[in-house]
Amino acid sequence: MPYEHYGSDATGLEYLDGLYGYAMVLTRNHAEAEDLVQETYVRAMPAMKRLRSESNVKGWLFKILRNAWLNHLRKRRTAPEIEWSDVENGLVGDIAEPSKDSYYALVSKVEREQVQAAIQALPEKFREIILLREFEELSYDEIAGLLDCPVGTVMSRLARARSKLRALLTYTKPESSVGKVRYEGLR
Amino acid sequence: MKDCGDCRENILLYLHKELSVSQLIEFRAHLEKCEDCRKALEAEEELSRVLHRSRPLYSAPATLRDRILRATKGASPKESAP
Repeated sequence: MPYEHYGSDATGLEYLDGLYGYAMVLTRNHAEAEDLVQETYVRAMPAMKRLRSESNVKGWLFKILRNAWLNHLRKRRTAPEIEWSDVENGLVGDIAEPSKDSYYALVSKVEREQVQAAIQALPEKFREIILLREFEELSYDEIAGLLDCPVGTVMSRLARARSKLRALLTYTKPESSVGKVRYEGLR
Repeated sequence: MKDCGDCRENILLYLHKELSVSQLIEFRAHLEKCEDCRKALEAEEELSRVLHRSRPLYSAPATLRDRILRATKGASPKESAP
């Protein structure tokens, strides 16, 4: 049975936000992330209609994106260029829209910005595994397949990533009283 | 589960629902008698709650969807799928 999330016009666009998030933690740059996601869909689309219903479309798309990113890194090594990131330039503002209630929306926005900044301060392999497990909810097996590493490596890397992230969040308490975001439990 | 070391190693597996049934039974049995491990679990649970509240971490710009649809329009099958 073919993959039919969108009937005969399967596009996989339901994974757009997830793929964009993955691209953002890899590249830390909006323009580069958008290009990477577009390249992913361009590569995937021709085969999309031939996918079987039991296919792990999400994992497949994430794998294509990761391979595209690794290709870019290989090209960069042979042709050095000036690298820059939105994070280092303070331009990361592509926060997901919070709820409409103004107070809770502000609290939500403050907290999300802090979490986002803390994650982007981690080394790439830690950013990547936090995104895949904690935000995209891929299983340990799926992550191991995606990263081409043993499940044991996924487990140990995730534990170290969470430990570093907890430390960063503990030192990033909100200054404004509006942000009743509590990190005390993270210590 | 032999000791607290084993328990701490299993905390993330527990949170991510990766423990087997027998491991889960041992894990819960250890927690019932060990306050330190319960506190360690609570700390990890709190971190998970903070992360879950921050979902999605990023939202794709509205223009990206249109850009992708334009770029993939008329794409023909040429790549093997899983």
